[in-house]
Amino acid sequence: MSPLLVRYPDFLTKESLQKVEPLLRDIFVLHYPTERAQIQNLHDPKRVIIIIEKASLKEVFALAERGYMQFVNKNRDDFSQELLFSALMVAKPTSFAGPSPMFLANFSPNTGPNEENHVSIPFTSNFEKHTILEKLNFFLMQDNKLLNLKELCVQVADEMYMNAMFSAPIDETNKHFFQNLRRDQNVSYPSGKSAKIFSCYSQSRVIIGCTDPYGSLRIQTLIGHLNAVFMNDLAKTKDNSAAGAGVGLKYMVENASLLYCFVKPGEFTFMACGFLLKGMKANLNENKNIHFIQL
Amino acid sequence: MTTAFSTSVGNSPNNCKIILSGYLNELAVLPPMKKDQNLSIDLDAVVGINSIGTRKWCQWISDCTALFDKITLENCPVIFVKTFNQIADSLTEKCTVNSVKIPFYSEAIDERKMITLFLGKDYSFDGLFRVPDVKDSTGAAMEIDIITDNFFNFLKK
Repeated sequence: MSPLLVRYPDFLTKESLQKVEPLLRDIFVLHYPTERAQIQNLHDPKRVIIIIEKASLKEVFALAERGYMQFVNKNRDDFSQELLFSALMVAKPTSFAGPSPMFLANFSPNTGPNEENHVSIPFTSNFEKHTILEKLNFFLMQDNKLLNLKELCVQVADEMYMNAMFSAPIDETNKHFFQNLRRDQNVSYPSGKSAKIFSCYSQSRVIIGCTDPYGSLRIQTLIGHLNAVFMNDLAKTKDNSAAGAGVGLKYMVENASLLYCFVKPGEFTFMACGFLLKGMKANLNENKNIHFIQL
Repeated sequence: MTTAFSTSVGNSPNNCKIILSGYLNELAVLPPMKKDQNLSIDLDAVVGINSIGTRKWCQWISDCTALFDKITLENCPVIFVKTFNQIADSLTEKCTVNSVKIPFYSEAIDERKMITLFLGKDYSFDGLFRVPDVKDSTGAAMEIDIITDNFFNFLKK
């Protein structure tokens, strides 16, 4: 394990580095599996970015269960940029608190989101899901690069929608009041509450995400589910829950090349999946970047 | 893309054929089947599946397994094959995947083509996998857009 700026002194331009250097000074990187022996000795995994050289998702989520929150894959073209995102998420998580998917899509200041490359669709009930997925589908049909990934993207959006609709809502006693309902029931958020599905794309990525106004997800609970789902090669559908028994999570993780989950308890949960605009194969492989933040 | 799910069932002596189409989700209804020898399921027009649809599928294919001697699946879209490889109960011992639709991609011009591969001709239980030569609209070779190392894992089930 080494300090980020020692191990990767050139991952930013000098100009950029000057701006963020004070923030990144006490952030560490650990290469997995090369430096896996050092994992036992770490006292603050939240300050450590795991640089994945080669690891299965099962290994990644086992590390996450030990408290690591940032996983950046070394074998990708976007390594430097993802390393910077991860470092900033560790150093200053609150700056990611205004849930905006734009940075995830690689926008530079000159090519920011606009009406053509960004869509945000609010919803308050399960009844609207079909219409909203249709709108998303329509959005994804505007560019051939997106078209190639449409099935993967819609599948992920569907799972996010159901999580936001059925799993997220809690009452004042923190009871998840829709959690055990059948997913074909029509349910609505209480008055004044709404969630949204969003998407945006740049030249290199498309982001599909969802944010709900509850912030009831606990990252460690999510990681526990991910661990259970990826423990075996094949997920099982047979359990007694009304939901998809973790199958939705498996779809979200395996479809995308980037998973981002940010929770501000009591305020919002923000889930996003990123897809490289290079066809399906580039996204379905195991070279994924994974970021968790819980304030 | 998210068109409503529908089914169409046809019967001939000893054989039952069902065509599934649309989006297999929590609202989809997979029909109860009657006992017969062979069941053929055509998935060509299935445009997507979510986690609840996956559970429904697993339950239905398990029920069908008790009713038929042999089940064949035709024209399986890639999103369905992905499910076969990810979910434990999505295929049973009586199921044979006769054909799959595979995407080919040309990154230079963002062109995608779906090509159907057939059991016995293009892939087999003993590891045969023949990748066809597919050209894009400019005549350039297209790349198969799946991870070939594990795409046919369902054959090992």
